[in-house]
Amino acid sequence: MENHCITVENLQVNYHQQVALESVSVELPAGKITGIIGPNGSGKTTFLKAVLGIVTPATGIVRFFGEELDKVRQQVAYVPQRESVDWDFPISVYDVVSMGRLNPKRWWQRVAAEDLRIIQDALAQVSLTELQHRQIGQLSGGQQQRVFLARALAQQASLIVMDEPFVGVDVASQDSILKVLQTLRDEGKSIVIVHHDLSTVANYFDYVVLLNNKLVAAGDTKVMLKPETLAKAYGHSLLFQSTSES
Amino acid sequence: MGNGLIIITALLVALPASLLGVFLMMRRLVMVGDAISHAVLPGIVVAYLITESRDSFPMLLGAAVMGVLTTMFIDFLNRRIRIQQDAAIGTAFTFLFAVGVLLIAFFAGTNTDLDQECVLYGDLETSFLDQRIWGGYLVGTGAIFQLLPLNILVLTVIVFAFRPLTVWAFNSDFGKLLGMKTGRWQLLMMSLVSIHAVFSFESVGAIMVVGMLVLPASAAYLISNKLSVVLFLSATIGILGCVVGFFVALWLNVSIAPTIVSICGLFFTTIWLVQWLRGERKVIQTGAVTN
Amino acid sequence: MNYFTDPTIQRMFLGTIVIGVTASAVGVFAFLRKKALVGDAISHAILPGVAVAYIATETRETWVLMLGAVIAGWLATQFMDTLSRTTKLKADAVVAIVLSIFFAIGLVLISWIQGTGKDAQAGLSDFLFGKIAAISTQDIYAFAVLAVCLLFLLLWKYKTFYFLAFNAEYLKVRGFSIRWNDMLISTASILAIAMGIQAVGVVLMSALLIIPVAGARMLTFRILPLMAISVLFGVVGAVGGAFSSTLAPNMPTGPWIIVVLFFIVIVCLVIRYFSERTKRKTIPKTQPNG
Repeated sequence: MENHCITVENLQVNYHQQVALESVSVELPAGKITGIIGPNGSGKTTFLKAVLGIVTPATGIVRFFGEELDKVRQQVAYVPQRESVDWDFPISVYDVVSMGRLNPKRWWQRVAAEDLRIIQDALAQVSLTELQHRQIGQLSGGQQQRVFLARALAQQASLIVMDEPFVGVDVASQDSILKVLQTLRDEGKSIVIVHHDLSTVANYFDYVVLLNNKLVAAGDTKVMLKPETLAKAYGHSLLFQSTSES
Repeated sequence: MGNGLIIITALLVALPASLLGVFLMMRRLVMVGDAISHAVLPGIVVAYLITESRDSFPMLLGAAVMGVLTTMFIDFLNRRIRIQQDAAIGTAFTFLFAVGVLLIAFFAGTNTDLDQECVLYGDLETSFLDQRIWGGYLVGTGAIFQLLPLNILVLTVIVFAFRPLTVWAFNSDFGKLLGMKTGRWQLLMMSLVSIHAVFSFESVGAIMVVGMLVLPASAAYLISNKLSVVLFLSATIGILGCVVGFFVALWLNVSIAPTIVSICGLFFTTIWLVQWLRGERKVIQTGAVTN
Repeated sequence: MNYFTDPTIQRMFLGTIVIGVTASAVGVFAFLRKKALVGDAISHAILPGVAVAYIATETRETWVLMLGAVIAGWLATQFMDTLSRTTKLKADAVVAIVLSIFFAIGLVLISWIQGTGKDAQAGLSDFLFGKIAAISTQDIYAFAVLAVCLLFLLLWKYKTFYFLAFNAEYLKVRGFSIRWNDMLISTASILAIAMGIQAVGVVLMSALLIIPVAGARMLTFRILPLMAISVLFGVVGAVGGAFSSTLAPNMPTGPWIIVVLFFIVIVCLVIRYFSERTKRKTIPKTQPNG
């Protein structure tokens, strides 16, 4: 079994005629919670979107579990940034989660009994069963984040990619989301999270990738979080920025 | 003589439009401007029907209030009823415009001055017939006398309130933080757009106004990032569009107002294409540039 | 005048209903995709297409003009996409740019046709505000067939379109072709608009797409009721508008349909307002618990 969930080689992204991300090569371990860390505007989200093919990169090869994305799409779940979601959209919690069961090859199919069970399990796992008929705008920040986590669960993916899941979410919800993620990891799933708050990195992640428009460093959290490593990697700017934001 | 007067009228429509358009574009209010230019129609029709003339100044100002009310109605649908902005705009202005068209259809028999076609094309061609003679000299036309004060007003506002308008246009939240009453600046700008829509209505029609608002402003915005330069370029493009458009229309023997907008569209498209092709080349050349 | 036997009246009602149903069904997705004003741009952009088709062929055959309309609508869509991809212009400016350029060219062409004195036969100005009487019975049957095809497409793929409108990036990661689905839904919009302009006119056509769903959205947030209610509103608006326009001579159909639809929206607004007020009174708002 391939022990990397994502392998990136020489990934470069140009955006509006500028380089947003410069030639990144990195391997993310499978079965762990990996944090992609960097200050605002450091290209974290761009990295994620390029990896997932949402943004077309200028150069680079990306493999998931050693395969091309097209072969393993069902295995990859994406949880978008909260701000990028239109919370006034006329859609219920249940509908969002049911998207996880949508088969791209058989999109006309109705939700089967088996799917229904999986959807309800996913909702239960993030404790949203009672709120499933609400319109998504009528939830709190933490609940909203859990809706999208539930969609990823319903997809039964082995890799969950999340973009800033802890932004605008209260501490209690952060913990409950983290608990779900840790359970998933213990079941052998891989989780990749884009995150900007350096102060919480030690509690959340097993493995850390530091980005600042290019790859700064990558390694186990314990090694990476030594002040020397960070200072060498970033100078003071990152530390300053992340503490002021948190 | 007639040609000169027509060109002057067109310029007096284009100049304030190209300046106001820059601010609308920055604030993402272009389609609200379009909505206003449609929504003043019922107001204008009622004004005509009551006064039976085209140049009753107070009645026309009353019609301009319709425009401001429309922006408030859109805001109400958007904020209070939580209808998304585009649908709120689409609902509000089509209704008001439909009412205007129906009023025209209803009273078409009694008032031959007003028909559905002039709503679209305007009457730039005949505007010079309404001449004002003073002391034996020709001093202008009815349309010019309506548009001139508006031009002075718009220029005065933009010159003297340039800084607060910049803050409003680029960064409204920052303005609020400074204690600026951004709502009032917005109201002022929307009032100017409404008055402009009413006064330019009979010259260029309801639908060409949006072209005059957006095309010079967007073309200028593609060229420059500096607001003062964008304003200057926008006005220049608007003026050039009028002059070139007028002669092209004469040459082809077609309606003047849409020709002017088409020429502005041609300017915009040319500037965009040149920039785009140059940009493509730049990306290829500097594919691996570092920052 | 008997409303049930007069063939002209029958034809008018049938035509407006077909157009109303199609436009309001397609409009649901234009609304969900926040593209209400793109519909406005497309309907304006159709004018030069119709004019060029007429100049090129010198016929007023509906299918010829429809072809021109669809091509122009498609070009306008591509133009908008390219502009938003390649410039820093905001979405609303892009819509206004394309709308005004195409419409201005359309008006220039029509005034040119009128200048050559051919408009007497062409009646192209009917496209501006709409004239349902200009549509022949065969055209209406053809439109009905097209409408059934479009409705079938929407019912078949509504889920994909719905989810796509909500969260395109997710579907892209899941392997859906955004481009293909986008193209399908834009084509459906263009066809629905092209069908409608003869009855409603280019200036007001977008209202037929957007107002029914805007009203329906006040009553529900679920997709299937949303589609059903907005189609119902589309039909009521079409029938009510067509009926009102027969009450006085020389009344355009399109504006009447819009006025009727708007009053439906007002009713929905009132219902929404009171239902929210009673909800607030009876149930204490549950505090979201984290």
